[in-house]
Amino acid sequence: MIDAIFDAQTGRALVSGLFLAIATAPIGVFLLVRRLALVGDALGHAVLPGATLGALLSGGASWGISFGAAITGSALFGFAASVQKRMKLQEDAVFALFYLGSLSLGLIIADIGGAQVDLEDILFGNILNLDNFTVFLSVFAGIISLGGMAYIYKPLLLSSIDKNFLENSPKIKNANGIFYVLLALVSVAAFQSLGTLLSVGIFIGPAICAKYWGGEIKRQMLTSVFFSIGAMILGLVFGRILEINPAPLVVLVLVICAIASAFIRREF
Amino acid sequence: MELVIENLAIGFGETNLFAGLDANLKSGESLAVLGCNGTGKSTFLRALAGLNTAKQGRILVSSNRLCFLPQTFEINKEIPISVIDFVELGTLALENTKEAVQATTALALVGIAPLAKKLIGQLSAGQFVKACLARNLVSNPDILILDEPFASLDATSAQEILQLLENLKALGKIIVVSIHDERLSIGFDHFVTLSGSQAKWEYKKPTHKHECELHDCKAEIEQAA
Repeated sequence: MIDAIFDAQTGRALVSGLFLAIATAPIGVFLLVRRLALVGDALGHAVLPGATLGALLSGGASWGISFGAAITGSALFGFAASVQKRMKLQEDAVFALFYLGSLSLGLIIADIGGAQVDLEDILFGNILNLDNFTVFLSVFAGIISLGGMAYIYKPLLLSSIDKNFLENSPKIKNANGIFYVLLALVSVAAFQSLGTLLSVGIFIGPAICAKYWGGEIKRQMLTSVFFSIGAMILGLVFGRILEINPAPLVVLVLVICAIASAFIRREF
Repeated sequence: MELVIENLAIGFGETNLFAGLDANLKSGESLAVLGCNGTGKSTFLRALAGLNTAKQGRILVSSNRLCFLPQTFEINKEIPISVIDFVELGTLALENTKEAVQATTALALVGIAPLAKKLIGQLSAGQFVKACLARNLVSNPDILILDEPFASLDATSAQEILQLLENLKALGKIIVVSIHDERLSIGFDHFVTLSGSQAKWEYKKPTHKHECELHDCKAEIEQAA
């Protein structure tokens, strides 16, 4: 049975999943404290039109899907930020509007693409059937994200606490820019494994769990990685045992952990 | 080190909050900016800090180590960070962190060293103002611009901050503070009194400081009405 669970595909899924866990959890902690949980969700959906178009043009190749996703993900962020002032709406309202638009556009492209676009894989991920490119992208995103977050940690923390202090400092502006680039990169890497609908769960779920276990933000980032890795392993193992897509299991484990943490750690 | 204000006009659109202000502050001198609500104290201070553009005139500062403490903070206190780490973030204002003052020293200066390990969300309003002041002090500023720092402090804390400002003056810093309660302005070297709709301004030399007559805001408002 052990052999059946830990075959080559599961091994690849595990490598990809562990690097994604390391990449997403610290970013998720910052999304949560900056009250940007919806932005992560929006970005997950924002990649859909590009992903479906990439699948359509490349015949379903993962590099084409990722490339398309990266382009629309970045474009949405740039566009949403530029029109926010014009529309005089809160940031979350603008992102909500754009993610609904992205979702609709993606579904239309998928419908046009017909059999060439595997919408289920794009929406819910296919972590047990990853090719080399996708595994490499997850490893790359994990390393870059970890290094990037360490590099921008202090200025990002400062701007998360007090956005007015040193508001014109290039250090702060650069840190915020890099944070969104990392978020876009990791989102693109994550959605092929967990899908556009579920990938936000691996960002926000571990962060919510960690919040209840207390400590300073550095410790919460570390705790969130543990929850993220744990959920990834449990999801994969049970996915193999039950022979179902592990992505919803990973997210479900995180949701259960978050609710359980809230009850166990009532003082928070 | 010097802070020179030449023929300064501050306002919005075509309305001047005040105009024609000249002032000159040297190392180790302090300026109290007095006036009612809405007379432009915060706008003036933000202009001094380079965050607002003056309508007219010039502000010349001979040091780029200038820090500004706003009147209201949009601080996310839910972020779990200790006071010492929060204060240490002030070093980001510096290009070269070797020039920074130790966070522990800054906390001791403002009198909250025992709170170093507490989370910022656990501080009282007054303690938090002191923590913010300490965060500004780690960048070792030459000029401190503080917008109504006493607003949320009790009398004892306000006196502690006043004493701290005296100590900083003795270290050669230039201090500019807007103050709502004129009783706290005793001890400052210079005064600018902003008087709202009449766009009057007053700048008094140190020798005149005890003769400084503060405008009766209520009387002015009634007169204007």
